[in-house]
Amino acid sequence: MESGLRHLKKSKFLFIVNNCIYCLMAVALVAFLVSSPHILIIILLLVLLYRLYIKDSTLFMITLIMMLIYFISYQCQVKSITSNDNSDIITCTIDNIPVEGPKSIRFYCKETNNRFLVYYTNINAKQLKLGDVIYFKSSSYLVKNNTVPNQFNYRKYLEAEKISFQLSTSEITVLTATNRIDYKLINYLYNYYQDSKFSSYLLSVIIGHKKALDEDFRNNTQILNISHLFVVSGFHVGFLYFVFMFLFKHLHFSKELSRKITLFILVMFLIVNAFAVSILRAILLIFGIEIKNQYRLPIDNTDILSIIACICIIINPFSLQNPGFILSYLITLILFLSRKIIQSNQILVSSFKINFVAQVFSLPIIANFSFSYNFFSIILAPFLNLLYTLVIFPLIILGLLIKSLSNDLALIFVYYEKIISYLSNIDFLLFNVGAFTITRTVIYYYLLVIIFRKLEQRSIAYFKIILLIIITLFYHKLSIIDEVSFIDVGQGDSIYIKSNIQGCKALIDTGGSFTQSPGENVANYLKSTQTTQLDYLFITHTDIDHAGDYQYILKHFKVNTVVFNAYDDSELQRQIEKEAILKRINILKVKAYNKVDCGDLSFYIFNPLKKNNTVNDNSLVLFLIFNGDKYLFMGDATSDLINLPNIESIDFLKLSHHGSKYQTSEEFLAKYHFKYAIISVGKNYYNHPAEELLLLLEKNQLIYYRTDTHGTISIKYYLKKRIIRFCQP
Amino acid sequence: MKCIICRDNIYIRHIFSALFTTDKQMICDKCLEGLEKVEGGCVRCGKKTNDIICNDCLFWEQNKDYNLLKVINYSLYYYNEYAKTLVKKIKFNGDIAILLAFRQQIKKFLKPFPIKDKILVPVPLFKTSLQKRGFNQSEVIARIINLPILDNIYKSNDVKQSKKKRIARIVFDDQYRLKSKLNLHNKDIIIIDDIYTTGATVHKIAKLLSDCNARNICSFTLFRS
Repeated sequence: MESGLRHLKKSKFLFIVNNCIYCLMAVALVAFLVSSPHILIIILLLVLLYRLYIKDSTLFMITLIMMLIYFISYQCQVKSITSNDNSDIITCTIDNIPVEGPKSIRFYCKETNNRFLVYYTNINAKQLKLGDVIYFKSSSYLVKNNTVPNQFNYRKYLEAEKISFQLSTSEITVLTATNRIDYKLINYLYNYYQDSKFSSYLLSVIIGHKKALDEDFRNNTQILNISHLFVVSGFHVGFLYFVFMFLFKHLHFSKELSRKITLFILVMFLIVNAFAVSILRAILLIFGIEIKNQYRLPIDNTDILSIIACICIIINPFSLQNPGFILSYLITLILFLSRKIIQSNQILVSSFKINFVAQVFSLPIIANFSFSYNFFSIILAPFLNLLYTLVIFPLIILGLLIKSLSNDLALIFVYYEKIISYLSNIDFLLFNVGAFTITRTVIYYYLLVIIFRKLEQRSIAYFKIILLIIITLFYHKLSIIDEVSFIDVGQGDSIYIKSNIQGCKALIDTGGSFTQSPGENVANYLKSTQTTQLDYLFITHTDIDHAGDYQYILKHFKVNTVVFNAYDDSELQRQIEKEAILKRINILKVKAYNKVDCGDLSFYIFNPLKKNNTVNDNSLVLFLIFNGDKYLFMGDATSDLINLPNIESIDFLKLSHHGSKYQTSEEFLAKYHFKYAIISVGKNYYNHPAEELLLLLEKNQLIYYRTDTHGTISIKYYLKKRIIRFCQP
Repeated sequence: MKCIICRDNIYIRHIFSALFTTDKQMICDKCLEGLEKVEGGCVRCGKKTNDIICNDCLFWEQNKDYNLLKVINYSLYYYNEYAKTLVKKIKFNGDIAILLAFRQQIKKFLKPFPIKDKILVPVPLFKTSLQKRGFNQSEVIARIINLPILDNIYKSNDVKQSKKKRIARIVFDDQYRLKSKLNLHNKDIIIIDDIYTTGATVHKIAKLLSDCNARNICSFTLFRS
């Protein structure tokens, strides 16, 4: 009786282990939910829990417990990040290899409980190295969320690295060096290989020093989706494992011994790489599979991976905010799950299938970096991977073992870089796919899983494949959501008006600054909404904060017409005009009471009436009726110049001159009944927006939003229903 | 989880199509490989034959008592040597658990068919053999399918089917009888049995039911010999 009971318990335990992939799904969904709440994720989680409840009650309970443990872990760790004293003098230990940038040296620094990201602006100073205990004075500030929608959230990424604060300093005193062996080992390797001819490859592969590679080369590998080959990843661990096992087998070591030595070497590799996510995953997986084979456990590889992933997520509840973590686990899991589809007798066919599956499943995550995807890489990847496995990686290992050879080998790498650069320039299959929002990602993966289920039963779901292709290529282009977005460009203006139904895409001003390039943000935002062409680019006037970053727009988008005010004759205006003529872009110069038709929309111009004394007063003032709402874009013009005939109320007012008190008068606000005011403003020395004006707005019962506190302000119309969205820092 | 037949550990390999299945796998892949799925063969009963329709079915088509019935039989596996040992274990050793373990396979097989509104009629056993065995294997299968079951039929004598010759089985009549009068107007029936050999049992019950105005009658058996 008792043995029977034990047997039953054991088999129940095995059943739970065999199904822990569902636990992983639930924990991952909770983690996503915590970092970015969305109704679809809640629905998915509920469906999952319901299915588990039907499947097995014990499994359901275990899943609930795992979710609870995750939540407790999250609650404990989220406190330790937010509660931090703003102490001015900081003593900490450098815990990664400092990366030299153009303006500053960047590194992570560890205090007893906190980790910081430090920018050291004195580049010419004595070199810092890993493990140095340093002492400096700095004020710490929180890393901001992205203020432009769909962009990479650096704050969340750093949260996954357990970094909460960003410090900047120009003077650092080195106290001592830490005596940790792993730091010494990494420093030794770093110094040993640093002077080698192709040191960047060696360093990237042996200690995961990310920034050592040439910028162009890195971009090219990213375009071809092979960048994972040039940072240490699971691929390298697997490769090393098989190489060592093969080597020891032929040296007639016993199987037990060779396994032990190999695992020891892999652990060393892990330590040298500072426990990087993908290497940790690969090595734990190898350990798991070894244990499974040793004791002949009836567990699947997916189970081992799921357990590892669950533990990793619970230990660091923010780890899913790092796209690298998601990619590493997702791809491995998917490759295990699609074994039945992948397996083939021919190596090349199965290699092609593996690459295809990996690329298709990683597409949403990769596309969110640059919003474009090179579909040519799907065809190319198997060959490039083969080339890397058979030629490049063995050469790198050879260079590692025999340092003196590296000068001769460097020549091969020059050719390799040339090949990569040539291939990455082939762009006939380079599509702008736009951002994968949560809704789009969920639909994408749902369709993919259904298609793969059908493929396993050897049938093809044509309809779903077509739907998937449409979602991949045309999602934002088919969107029926109209929007007016006041993009956060710091101190400056940039407003994007888009309506697919009414056929108009227009940008008012590009933003710009002497020190930063906010125009890049504008370009990235437009790309993320799959915009490739603009019907109109309105340049209200050619101040640097309105038109300074014009080149980002003209470079990335096919602009049809650039509109200037008729009295603009600055140096910048001539530059833009010259570039526009070179690119065969129409130029239009307008003044008051002109009309510009854009699709079904009409922009009415109310300024400049005559040539005014200041550049600001010559600024274009645009009036637009969009989905029943009236908009007035003031540029930088003074309100007294404007006379709007037959108009009594206006819904949205873009306040003139970033909320300066001189450009907007009380009479103006009283004369037209405004509902909302938008202030496009950033950090500045002119006291914009003025306190007096804000009081005046409140007095006139206007609701106002500021791009510096609300981030990008998007007014969206879901079939005429208006929703205002922010992207708060 | 252990395999119910060979007692080996069941090794669940996760693939896309196995995600979220609620049924627990009770039989290992190795044991399932021993069974051969019914594919092709006779269009009416699934018997392995090169003709479109097999000789037995031709007999039923031509027999004037049965030619209007047009009973179509669906079977899961062929009754090969391995299946014989399984049936022996189930029927004569009374290992009902093996039969229950086929739940997943049966459900998967029936999934594409529109069986929602149909009524199941398991083939009854003779009183004494039911007492001896303790369960009716056809009824167990019917319970697995989980649709309304009609048990208004009984077996009047106990001449062992498996000990008779083919034609004798068909000719022997009046073996199954109704307990009480029935009206099955506009109702669809599935006759459930463990093995389909010549179709004698199925057709006799079908005849009985069609006399009660049943509309459409087909049969489902686990094995086809």
